[in-house]
Amino acid sequence: MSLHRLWAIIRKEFRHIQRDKRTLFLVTLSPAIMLIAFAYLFAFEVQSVRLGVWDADQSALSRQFIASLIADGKFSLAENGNGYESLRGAMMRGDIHLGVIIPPDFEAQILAGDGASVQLIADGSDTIAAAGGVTRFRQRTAEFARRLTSTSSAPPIIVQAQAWYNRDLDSTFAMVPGLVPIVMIMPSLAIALAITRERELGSFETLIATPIHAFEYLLGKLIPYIAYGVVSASIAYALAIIWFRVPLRGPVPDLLAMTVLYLFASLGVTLFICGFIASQGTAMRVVMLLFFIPSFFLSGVTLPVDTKSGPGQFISFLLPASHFVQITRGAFLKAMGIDQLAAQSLNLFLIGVIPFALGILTFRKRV
Amino acid sequence: MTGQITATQLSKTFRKNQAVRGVSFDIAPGEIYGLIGPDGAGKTTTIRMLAGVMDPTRGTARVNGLDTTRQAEQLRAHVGYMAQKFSLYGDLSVRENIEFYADIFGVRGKARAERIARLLKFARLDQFQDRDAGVLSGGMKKKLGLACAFIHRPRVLFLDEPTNGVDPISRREFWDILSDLHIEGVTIFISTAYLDEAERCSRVGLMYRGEIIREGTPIALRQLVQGDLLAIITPDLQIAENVAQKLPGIFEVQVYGDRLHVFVDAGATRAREIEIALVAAGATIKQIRPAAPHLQEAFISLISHL
Repeated sequence: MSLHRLWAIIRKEFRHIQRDKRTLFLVTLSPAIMLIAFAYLFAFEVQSVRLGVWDADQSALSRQFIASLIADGKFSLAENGNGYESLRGAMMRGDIHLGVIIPPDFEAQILAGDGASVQLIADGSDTIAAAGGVTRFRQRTAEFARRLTSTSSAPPIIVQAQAWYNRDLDSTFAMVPGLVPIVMIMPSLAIALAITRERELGSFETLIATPIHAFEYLLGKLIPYIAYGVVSASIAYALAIIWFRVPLRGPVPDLLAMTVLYLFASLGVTLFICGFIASQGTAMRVVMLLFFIPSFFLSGVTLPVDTKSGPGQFISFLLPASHFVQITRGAFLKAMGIDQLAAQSLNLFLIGVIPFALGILTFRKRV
Repeated sequence: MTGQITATQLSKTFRKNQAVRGVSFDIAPGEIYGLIGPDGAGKTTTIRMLAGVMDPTRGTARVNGLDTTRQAEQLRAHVGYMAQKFSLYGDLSVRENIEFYADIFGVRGKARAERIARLLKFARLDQFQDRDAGVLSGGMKKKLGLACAFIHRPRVLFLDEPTNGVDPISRREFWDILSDLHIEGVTIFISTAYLDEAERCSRVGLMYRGEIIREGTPIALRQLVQGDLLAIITPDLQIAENVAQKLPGIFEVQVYGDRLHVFVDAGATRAREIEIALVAAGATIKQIRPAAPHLQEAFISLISHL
């Protein structure tokens, strides 16, 4: 390991980035531009919304009500709470999108003919799931109420909906931080193109005949792209704060540190994979197929994903974006710092360090 | 074998294609060894194996006493390698390219500045040091590649068709630089498709279909190519080919694009005879002149007489 060689690679890589307009664009402005496009274009149908229920009544009717909610699978029961704090905790962890609070006099009030009221709390940081979930919840409650009363005069169950973390449930308001993980795939694309370009042009063959070590080469590539990745993420965050007026409630240094971890994870995986790819065209398709598309659908960025079970769980766990989406939403809307997002941060570190180490081990200094 | 570059039965097979079929070398320190052959003969694969950037399927090679497969990393400091494809960084300047390789090869301190300045001068690139490598002429690119490959002052240089596609003046200049290195005692292993370049080597190996079919000094090899070469430019290639083949004193007739290349026993007398015969057969002749045998032609001629 020679710091001189490492520095030689780093400086060369910085020069490549700064002198190639396409690469420079990819690692500076393109994430912010994508962010604007996505923020305005988004409108998604909610698939499955996770419910947390605090049933304070524990009556036959309250159990019937819960059963009717989850009957068709559009809602799933993810948490049986016993107080506000347990629901709050589940929502902080991202286990539930909606919290339902059934008051202790639920059955009594209905049987007495006075309308009962249930309280609904929505995770305002995940607007897409929350907004869709609240609408559907109101429909379900109304259907349940109709079945209870033959005389459909006044609805006997009133839903009092309230959003946490994002009171107004303004869609662009909360969606933007969650989109950052997707748009921050651009540095991965840039590094994949840089590595395969070096192979395509034949410069790599010359490097093989030098004393460069795999570690120096890969780290020398990684560092400039992490640096520029932080620049592009900062532009995207600034855009979220200034243009979309999303408050950044968590500490800025923590968010930047976790951004570095995300870049390390996504770039580490890319570096490893690119060791097996010869052309820029293939590299681009692989990055798109491996990161962009799954991150879009499986990370929970756009669709609420059941990450607790099923085959989606594994894929979702391996995607750096799945962890980073919790980080950006947590940092922006839930005022979370790196201490509260330690699990996600550790996952990102592992997702980065394992392929990076494998990349060094499988690095072949041969044509 | 005690040479600086030695190889025993070096072979490389790609899937089913046997690119190199058991070649052996014993090259002494200070030699300029030319590996000559047509495209696809296996020259690049051979050089890659000797330079330690590709593992042989069978056989072994040693450079400076180090095994090119198992001791490849130790070998790097003693060997300079210039790949066939121009492989420097087009967006870095001439100086930045040389500096990059100086840093990678651990050339530091006072030696770094001195050596870079000397190499820039040596490669006649000192006036162009701030120019992007990508906008250099073909010849200058090759000289820059050579400078980068020599930054760590290796004892052995492997150069894979360094003059391919370069104009004749730049080629000569490149070879003048190689001669200077040769005088300094550097062992040079170079591949080329140009016969005239082979003449500047101390020894030449002719490679064809993965094998060294002839090896020796340029003078010894040239004597193997029989007769003179005539180039005939004619729109009636088919007729000309058929007629020329049947004339006396003709060794070989080859079609090269819009012209016919004819190996004859005596150029001056046969040229006249061919011209008469072709005109009699109804072919139009635009030009008929003696030509220097290109290696490819010499080769085909050699092989057909094997």
